[in-house]
Amino acid sequence: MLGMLAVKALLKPLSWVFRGRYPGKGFIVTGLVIVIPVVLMAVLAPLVSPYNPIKGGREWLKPPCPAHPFGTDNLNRDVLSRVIWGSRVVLAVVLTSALLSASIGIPLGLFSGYVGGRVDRVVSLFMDAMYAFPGLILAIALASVLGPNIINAAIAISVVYIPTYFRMGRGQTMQVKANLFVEAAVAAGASSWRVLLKHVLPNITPTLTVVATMNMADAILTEAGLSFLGFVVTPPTPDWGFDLRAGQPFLLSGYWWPSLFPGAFILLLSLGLGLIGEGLNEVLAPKEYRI
Amino acid sequence: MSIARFIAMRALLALPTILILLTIVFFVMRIIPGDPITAMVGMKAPPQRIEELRRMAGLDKPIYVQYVEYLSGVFRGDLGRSMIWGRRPVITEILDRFPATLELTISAFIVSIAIGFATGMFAASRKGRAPDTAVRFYGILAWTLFIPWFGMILQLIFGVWLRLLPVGSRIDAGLEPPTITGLYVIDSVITGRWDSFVSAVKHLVLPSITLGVVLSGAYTRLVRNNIVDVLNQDFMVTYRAMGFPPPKVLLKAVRNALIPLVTMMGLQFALLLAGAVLTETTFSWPGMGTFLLERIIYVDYTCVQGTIVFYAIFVVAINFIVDVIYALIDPRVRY
Repeated sequence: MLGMLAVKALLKPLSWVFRGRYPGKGFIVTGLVIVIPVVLMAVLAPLVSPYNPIKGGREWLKPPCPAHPFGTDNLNRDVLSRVIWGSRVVLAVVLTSALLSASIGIPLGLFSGYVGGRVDRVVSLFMDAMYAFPGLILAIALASVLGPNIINAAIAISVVYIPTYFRMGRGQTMQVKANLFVEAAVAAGASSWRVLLKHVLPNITPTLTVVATMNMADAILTEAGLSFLGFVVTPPTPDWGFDLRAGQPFLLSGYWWPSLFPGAFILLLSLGLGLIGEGLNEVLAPKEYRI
Repeated sequence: MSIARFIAMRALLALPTILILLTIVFFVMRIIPGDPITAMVGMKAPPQRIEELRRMAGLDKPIYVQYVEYLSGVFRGDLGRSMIWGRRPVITEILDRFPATLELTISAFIVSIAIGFATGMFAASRKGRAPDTAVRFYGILAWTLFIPWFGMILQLIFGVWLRLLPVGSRIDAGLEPPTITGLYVIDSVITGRWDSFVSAVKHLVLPSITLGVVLSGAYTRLVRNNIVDVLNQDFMVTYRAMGFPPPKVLLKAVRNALIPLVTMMGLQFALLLAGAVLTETTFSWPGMGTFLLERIIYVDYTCVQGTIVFYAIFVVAINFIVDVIYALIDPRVRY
C-alpha cells in the first residue's frame, strides 16, 4: 500500500497537488509543507546538520542563539543537529513498522474477509482482542522481552498495528465482495487469487492508503512514546522521544530547549501526516467507503 | 430481553475475549526468539543468575504446564509472586498502585469529556464557518499532541515559571489521607482533611489536563459530527419550525447525539490507559504505568506479566460496563 502511495505521489506531478483544485486540498498542502522538509532533513542529515550530533562542543546548556538555533544540551551537543539526525531513527522505525504491519495485516484481512465462515470468525476474534488492548502497553510488553533497540522497536510497533490493517482490509473486502462485478468474475471462472488481486485489492486501495497514512501519524507517537520510555535507542544515539526525556530534569530547572525542540518535531511530523490522511480521506475514498 | 439477562449474556461473551487476551499476553511474554529473561537482563549477567531468574519466573517448566498454571492462577486472582524484595504477591503490588492510575484516568476522562463537549457543541452551532474549521483543526492537533511533550510544557509554564502547581508525585509528603478508596481526593474529603485535599487536587491538575486534552480531540470530532447529523434530521427541523430558540434546539440535539458517544468512551478507554503510562512517567505519578516500567528495569518478570494481564482484564471489564450502560440508555440494543 505504501508502494501505491509512493507511486501515486510520484506519478501525479507534485505541482498539481499544490495548484489543482480538489476537495481536502488545504489539509494535504499543509501536511506536505510539514512532512516534505522533515523527510528531506532526514535524507540529507549529513549535509544539513551543522555540528556532530554525538560529540559536544564547549558550550554547556547554551540558550538558542545564532550559532546554535536550538541551543546546546547538558553534554554540550548542538540540539538542532540532534533533531536533524534524530529524524532518521523516527522515520526508519515508523516506515519499517508500517510496511511490516501492512504486509501482514492487509493480506490476512483480505483472506479472512473473502473466505468468511469459521476461519474468519476465529481470526477476527483474535484481532479484535488485540485491537482492544492499549497499543502502547502491548508495544512496551513486546519491547521489554525483545530488548531495547531500533529493530525490536519497529517489530513491537508493527504488531500493535496489525489489527488495524486487518480490520480495514477485512471490512473493505466484505463490502467490495458484495458487488456484482466480483460475482461476475467468479462466474467467469476466475480463481480466488485473481479475484482478490485484480478485483478486490484495486477497489480497496484508496481506503487503505488513507488508513496507512493515519496509522503512520499514530505510529510516530507510539515510536516517540517507546523511545521516551527508553525502548528504542541507547545513548548517545539521537532520537526525538529519547532526547525529550533526557532533557526533562533540565527543563524542570528552566533549561527548556534540549527537550522542547525534539518534542515539537514529534508533534509536527505526526500532525503533518495526520493532515495528509485527513485530506486523502476526502480525495481518494468514495463517499460510501469514507472513514 | 430483560436487562439482567442482557448483562448475563454480555458477561458470558466477555469470557472468550479475556481468554484470548490472556493467551496473547502469555505468548507475547514467552514465544520470543531467545529468552525473555536474557533479553531483559542483557547478555552480561552470569548464567547461574539467569537460570535462577528463569526458575523464579517458572520459565524452566514445559510450556503447556506454564500455560495451565498461568491461566488457573489468573482465574483465582493469583498472579504469582514478585521476583524482588520480599517476594510480595504480584496482585498486592499492583493493587497498591492501581488507585493512583484510577484517580488519574478518571479525572483525565472528565477533562476530556468537558473539553470535547464544549468545543464540539461550539463548532456544531457554527457549522461551516471559521470557528468550525478552527475546532476541526483543534481535533486533529489535540490527537497528535505527544503527551510527554505537552506535559513538560505545562510543567515549564505552571511549575517552573509561574510556580503555581507541583510538577510531580501525587501529594505532598506527609499529607497522605488514610486509605479508604485509595483515591486521595475522595479519601481526604471523607476523612475531612482539607490540607490533603488541596494538595491532592493541586498535584492532579497538570497530569489530568495533559492526558485530558490529548484525548479530547476524538470527542470534539464526534460531538460535532453527531450534533450536526442530529440537527439535520426531520424532527429537529420540526423543532426549529415550531419556533424553539436555537440554544434549546441545540440542547435537544445534544441529548440525541449522546448515544454513539458511549461506545466511543469504551474505545477511548484503551487510549486513556496507554496515555496514562506516558503521563505517569512524565509526572512521576506512582501508578501502574510507572510500576510496569520500574519492574521491567528490575527484570521482575512475574510483575511485568501480571501488570499486563491486569491491564487486559481492566480493559475488558470497562468495555463490559460501557455496553451495559449503552443497553440501559438505548433499549434497542437489548433486542
